[in-house]
Amino acid sequence: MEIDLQGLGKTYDGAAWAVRDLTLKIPSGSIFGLIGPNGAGKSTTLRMLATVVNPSAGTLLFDGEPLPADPSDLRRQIGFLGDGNPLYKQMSPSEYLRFFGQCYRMSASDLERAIEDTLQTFDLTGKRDTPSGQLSKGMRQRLLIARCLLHRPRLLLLDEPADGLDPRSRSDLRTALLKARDSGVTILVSSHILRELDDLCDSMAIIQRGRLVVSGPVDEIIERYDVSRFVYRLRILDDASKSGLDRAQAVLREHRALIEETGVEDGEPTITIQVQGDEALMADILAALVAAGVRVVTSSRLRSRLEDVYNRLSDDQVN
Amino acid sequence: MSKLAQLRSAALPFVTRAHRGGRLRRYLFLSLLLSILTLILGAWISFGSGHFESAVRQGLNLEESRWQREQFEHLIIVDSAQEEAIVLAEIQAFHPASEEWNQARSKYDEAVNLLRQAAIQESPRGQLRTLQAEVQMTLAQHGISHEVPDPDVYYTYFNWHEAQQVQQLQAILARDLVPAVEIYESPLTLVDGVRVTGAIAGGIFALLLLVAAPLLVGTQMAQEVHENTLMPLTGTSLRTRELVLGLGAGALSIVGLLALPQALLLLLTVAFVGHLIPALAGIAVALVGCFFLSFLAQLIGYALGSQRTPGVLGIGLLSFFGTLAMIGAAFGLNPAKQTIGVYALLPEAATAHLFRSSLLPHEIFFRDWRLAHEADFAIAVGTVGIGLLGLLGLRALERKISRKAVSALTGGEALLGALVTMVLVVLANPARQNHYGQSGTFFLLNLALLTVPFVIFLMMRTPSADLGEKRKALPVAALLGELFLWAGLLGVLSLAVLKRPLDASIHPVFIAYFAWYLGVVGLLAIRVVAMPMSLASRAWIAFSALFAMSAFPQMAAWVQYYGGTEDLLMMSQMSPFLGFVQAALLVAIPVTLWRSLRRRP
Repeated sequence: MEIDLQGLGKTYDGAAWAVRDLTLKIPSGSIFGLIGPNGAGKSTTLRMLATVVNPSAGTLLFDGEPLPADPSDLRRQIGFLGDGNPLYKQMSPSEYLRFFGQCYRMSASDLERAIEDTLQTFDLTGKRDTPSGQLSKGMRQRLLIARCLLHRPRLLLLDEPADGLDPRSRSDLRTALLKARDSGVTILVSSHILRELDDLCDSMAIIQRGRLVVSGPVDEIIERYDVSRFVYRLRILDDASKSGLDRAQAVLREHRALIEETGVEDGEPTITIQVQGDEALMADILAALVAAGVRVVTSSRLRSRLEDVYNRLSDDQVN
Repeated sequence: MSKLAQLRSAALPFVTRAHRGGRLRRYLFLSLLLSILTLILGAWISFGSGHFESAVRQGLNLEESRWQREQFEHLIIVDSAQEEAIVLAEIQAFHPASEEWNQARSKYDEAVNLLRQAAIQESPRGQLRTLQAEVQMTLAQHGISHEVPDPDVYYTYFNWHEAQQVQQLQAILARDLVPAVEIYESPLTLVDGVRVTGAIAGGIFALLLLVAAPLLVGTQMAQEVHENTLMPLTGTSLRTRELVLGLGAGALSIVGLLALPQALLLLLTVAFVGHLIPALAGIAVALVGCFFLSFLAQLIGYALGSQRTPGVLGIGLLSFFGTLAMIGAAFGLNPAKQTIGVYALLPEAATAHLFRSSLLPHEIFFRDWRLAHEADFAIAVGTVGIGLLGLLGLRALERKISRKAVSALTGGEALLGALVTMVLVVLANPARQNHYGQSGTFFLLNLALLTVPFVIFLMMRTPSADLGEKRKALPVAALLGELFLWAGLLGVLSLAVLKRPLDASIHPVFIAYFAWYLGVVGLLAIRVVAMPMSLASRAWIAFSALFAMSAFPQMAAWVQYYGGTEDLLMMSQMSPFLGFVQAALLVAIPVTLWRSLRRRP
């Protein structure tokens, strides 16, 4: 489903605009990221797209068609996970999915089949009859997302879906979203964890105080803002002569890595570096460090390129 | 999809949710248990010989008071064979000269006292003269003087024109002063027992529909709002109206499972030993009442759910609906000419009256058929009115939840609601029966009763802060105009009902006071809905509301009793300073409210 937002605006109190003059085009079958700080208008935008609230200004087109007066049929094609969506604690996952499936007017046979498939996809089969209140936070979040995909929507709107998920669940979510995208579902996802969106989204938009700052394909934006750096933190095991840190710094300088910060973690030195290049360059640096006898224990990426874009935009335009 | 199929499809998720797991089985078991309990209660109340059961039967006019029977039938009623033996022994051992005080002595003294008075009082006519002669002869036979005892000790005064006292006298003579002893047992027959069982089933049915159902529906809505689970539902393919009806259907399906056997029990008993039409009418009224109260409860749950926990709201709703049910039952079971109009306003009263009429009709309606017609008229008008208010509640709730309309009610809907409540209140107002009352007082009483509904309708007309549209300046004057229009219509209706001209006591000062009261009440209603409130503004609004509430009785008292300009500010009679404060507040309250509303963009 292709979505067109033309000068979309929303005010709740008649004075302040939660979203103002937002113009976006979300291609069909893509994953679109919506980025912004708290109060930027992400949730309001998603709610308007979910037809839960009416826009105060502008036009919303779904596959080129304006929002109908009675959006109930359109909603059957939309899966919407709002922010702070709690579950009914006494209901089990299967009961919860059945309840929402009926709310989407799924036929009984389709519904039972969809419940089984969805429970399996989201690895909840073993917990199908456990009250939701007894599920872990990650499982509850998975169940909420499962509910959104149950009725096979063409448009999936997810507000902070990775909130509360452990790394494994995030990976599962990523897989599920990619699978949904591959089946033709258009996905609009908002998140403040930019690393999650970095490799996931095809396109993105950054909004601040209800206004659009930038939008477009992720690679284009990164290129436009000349962000081609990665930030890593290295933790090394130093020897008694404390020469390991010096050797590491020498190797890093050789490879033109910018040392942002040095510190100590669990009694061992750490170095935060900015690498002006891609992941291949980082692999070369690590090999050189090992060759120089530096005992690298961990190497973790701290910020994504998207975060750098966001930070740069925030510095220039917002703050 | 037909409307019915749509409704069914909307109710399905909520009914499935309400009956999920083993819940349906548990509710069915509970329903069976409740039905058995009804039968046991019916048998117990009908045939139990305890004081409580007896009191209930007497309350329903099914049994004569035990004390009256003892008096008029010259009886001693005991509770057991053991007690009977003791009393019989006392009677056997009794001697008039004995000083011992027991029940035998008490009944003997009571009998002698009555005979002595009957013997010396001028006897009326015919057969009663013979009875008096018999009294005198009996006294002579027992060697009892005709001397009337000290009236300070014996309070019984005999009157030949009192049929019951003559009956008592005859019983004493027939038993030759010796009281009979009887072990107490319920005087009810099997047919009476069936009637009582039916009445209990009717009572439980009414309680389930008019207390339990709105309580469950309202608490559920409060919980959905409190836990933010309503929002995801608004994004499903259910339309808002379907969502509102579905939410109600889930809770009502549980109540329905419990109430259905009670309705069947009622109809079954009525089919054999009662009147079917009032019972069917009672069920219809209870259903309409349930419809209205459920939407009212949902509105309350929706409005307060985000601020209060469902538990607290549940207690509040139970108190509210429980109190209404008790008041309604009192009016319905004990009808009186003055309060028959209450049947229009309280479906609880109408239902209680109709169920009672179907099984245990009250004698007042046999004596006064006009009153029976008046009751029927009030119930018919009330049911239509309550049904309309229920529909308006549905519309308002729909708009509130969808957040897609400027206000919860349109001007026409609010006017309709105001007119309906006016008619119901005017019908229920007991002062309508008082043909000597002043029309001004009648109007004020109606306005006092209608202030709360008027305020609610005005709040539903006010564009709220979260309904979404980009708003222009708040139409304060137009909204106040609507409130004044409703009050004007109430005045016309009050005069039309009383069929009397306007009182001479309507004074310009009263008009000014009245306009002030109505204006302030309206501004408060608009302010609460339209603007966010800080702690200070909350305090000021609460104080202003209290001040307006205190001004109303003062206005009424001024119209009724005073009428002079020197009595205008009542607080000045306590202290000139307080009078100054009152005058200042009369100006400050509307001005501050108006200014705060005009500041809004």
